Amino acid sequence: MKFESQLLKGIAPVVVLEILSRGQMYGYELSQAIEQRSGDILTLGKGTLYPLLYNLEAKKLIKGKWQQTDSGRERRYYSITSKGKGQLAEQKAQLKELTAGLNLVFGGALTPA
Amino acid sequence: MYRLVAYLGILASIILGGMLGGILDFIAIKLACGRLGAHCCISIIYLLVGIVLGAFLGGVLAIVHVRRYTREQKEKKELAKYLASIPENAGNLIKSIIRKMRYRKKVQDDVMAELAAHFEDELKDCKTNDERQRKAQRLIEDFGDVNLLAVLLRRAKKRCRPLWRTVVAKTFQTIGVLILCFIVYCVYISLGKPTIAVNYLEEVTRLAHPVADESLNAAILYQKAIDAYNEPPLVKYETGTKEKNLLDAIQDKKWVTELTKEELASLKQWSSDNADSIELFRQASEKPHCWWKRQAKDKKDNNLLHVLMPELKSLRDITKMMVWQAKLKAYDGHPKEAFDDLLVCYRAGRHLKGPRLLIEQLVGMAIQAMAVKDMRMILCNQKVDSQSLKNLQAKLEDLAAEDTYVMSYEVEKFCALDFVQRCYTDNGRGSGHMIPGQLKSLDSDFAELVPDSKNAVLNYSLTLAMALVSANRSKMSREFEKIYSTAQEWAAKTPWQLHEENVDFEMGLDNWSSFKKVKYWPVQMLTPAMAKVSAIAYRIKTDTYATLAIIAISRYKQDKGEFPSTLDDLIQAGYLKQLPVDPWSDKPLVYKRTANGFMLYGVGSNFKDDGGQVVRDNKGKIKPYADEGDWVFWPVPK
Repeated sequence: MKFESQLLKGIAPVVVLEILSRGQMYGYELSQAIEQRSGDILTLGKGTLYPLLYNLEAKKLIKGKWQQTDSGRERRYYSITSKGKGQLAEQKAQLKELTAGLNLVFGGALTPA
Repeated sequence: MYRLVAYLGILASIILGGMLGGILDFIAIKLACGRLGAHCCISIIYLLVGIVLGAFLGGVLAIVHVRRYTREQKEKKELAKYLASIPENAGNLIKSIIRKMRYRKKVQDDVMAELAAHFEDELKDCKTNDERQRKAQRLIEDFGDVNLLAVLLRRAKKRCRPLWRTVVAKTFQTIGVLILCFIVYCVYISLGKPTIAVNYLEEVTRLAHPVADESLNAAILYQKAIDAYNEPPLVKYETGTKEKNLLDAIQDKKWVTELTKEELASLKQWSSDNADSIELFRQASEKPHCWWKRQAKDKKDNNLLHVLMPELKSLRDITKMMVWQAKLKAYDGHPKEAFDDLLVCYRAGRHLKGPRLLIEQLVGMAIQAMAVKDMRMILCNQKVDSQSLKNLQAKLEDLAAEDTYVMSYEVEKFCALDFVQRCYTDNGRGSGHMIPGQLKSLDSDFAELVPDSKNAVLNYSLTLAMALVSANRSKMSREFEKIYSTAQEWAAKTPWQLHEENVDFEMGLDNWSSFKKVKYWPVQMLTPAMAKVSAIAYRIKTDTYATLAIIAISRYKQDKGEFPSTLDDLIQAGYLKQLPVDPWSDKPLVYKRTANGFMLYGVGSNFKDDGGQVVRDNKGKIKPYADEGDWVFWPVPK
């Protein structure tokens, strides 16, 4: 399903932070993980992914480092920082409250069956 | 092989750097010597320093470049490996994004590697080439607009840079903007044009030109006298002394008896050859007015700073001739004719005074000074009868009473205002900026600041710098007005009055901060030494009245058989109308009877009565109007 870009814009960073909070990943790995863990509902365009990663890196919410993979290739791995963890916790709390509020508005229609 | 080339490259850079360093050093030393005007030789040591520095810098740059090149080559190889493992269209997309990103090479390479790795990972499961191509094409479409992506990547990477790098980048950007603004400003001020609103040359002529008929103008006859004038001859000495111009030969001599027979003969011949000129000069001196039709070097521009006054030197030379003629006449027993000649000179000097350029006024005063000095010289060396003295005194008193002894700065101020209108733009609100190109076209006053170099860039840079630092038109004009009006105010006061008021003769110019001096550099360049110039006018006045007193004393002595006890005796006996006042004390000149006669002197510019002591130079010659000691009018100093 193609979502309104404005709808996704606000949650893309928190999604990335959540995925990275579970372990460091490189760009391709991260985009695959987002699709898998959201049940293919959420997809991050390739043109959005890397600018988003660099912006999060600039805000010091994640950090990037070139490392060798198991297959011997060099990849840039991203991991969450402590500041990123704090930000993630904050935004998760806000999303939870938002979801609760929206559920009330829509009479529970937002809760998946 | 690569190593060999790299080492050869470094060696070549060291050699070239050394050569370039030496050449630049040589040029810098030459320029420095030229600007400073110092006689300096190109020291081998300086050149060696330049060569060593150049070689060192060349070597360092070469090594840095080689290392950077080696690193880049290594990174390119690695990147090439990445791009080689993905389809060509994907590789082209990535290259296009990186190219449009326009950022630091290291960051571009990082992003390129990351995007290439992403493509590699996305395509790793494709089994056939076709499948790879199709998937690659889908990925390319998924990346979206290349330009937008490049912008987003660039922005994001810029945010990643450390604070110090941001500060440095912003600083350079700011400097770049400031430099651009500066260049635009330089172009703006260079393109300015002056508006010549006032013809100051005409104003000067109008001031000197009274409402009078041309027949009353002495300048016409003076010009005829100058045209008829013959230059002094060369004196040929029988003793084998080298030939000399007559005026040069006799310039240090005061009286006829000091002349050699060759000099005396040349003097008489010269005087005879100039009989017509002398007669015209005499007729001119009797005219009531004198005004010259002034012209500038370039008749089209009427620049007051370029005004021609060729007559001044000739008038001085004619005066020198006439004073010697007077001394010859006095020596030959014709004092009345001698004094008549000197009075002609005194009257001629008056014609150059009043609202004129300072140089004219100074020449006029110099002519008058020659006349009164030689009146005293004649009185010192010749016995003159009482009636001749009485006639001389009466005529000199009349001339002194009509004369002005106050320096006029009105016309001199016009020079400053003409400079302002020619070197500044006029924005219609009384202000404007200095125009660099105009400075070079002005008088040779500026030649020492703007050297006549063949290097147009250097010339332009210097005049541009001068224009950039100077004050705007309204401030500059106000400063000139203030200085000249103060100078005119002071000119009306005697040196003693100025001394009592503790006046700062430099008008605080010495106390100006360096910044103000630089900002108002034309003021320092164009304004004369006001105190010294105004004092000259008072010197002539003192000279004249001292001479009148000496004439009166001589008459008194001849009539009464003894010198007066005080100067008041002269007044009471009717030999003198007024006491001669010393402007350096605002009291009468000091008169003392001595064993040999009398002494008459002024206290001089130290305002102290030194008892008539004069200052001599290291050759024993009296320094007239020295800063220390007294100014003695009688006895005539030997």
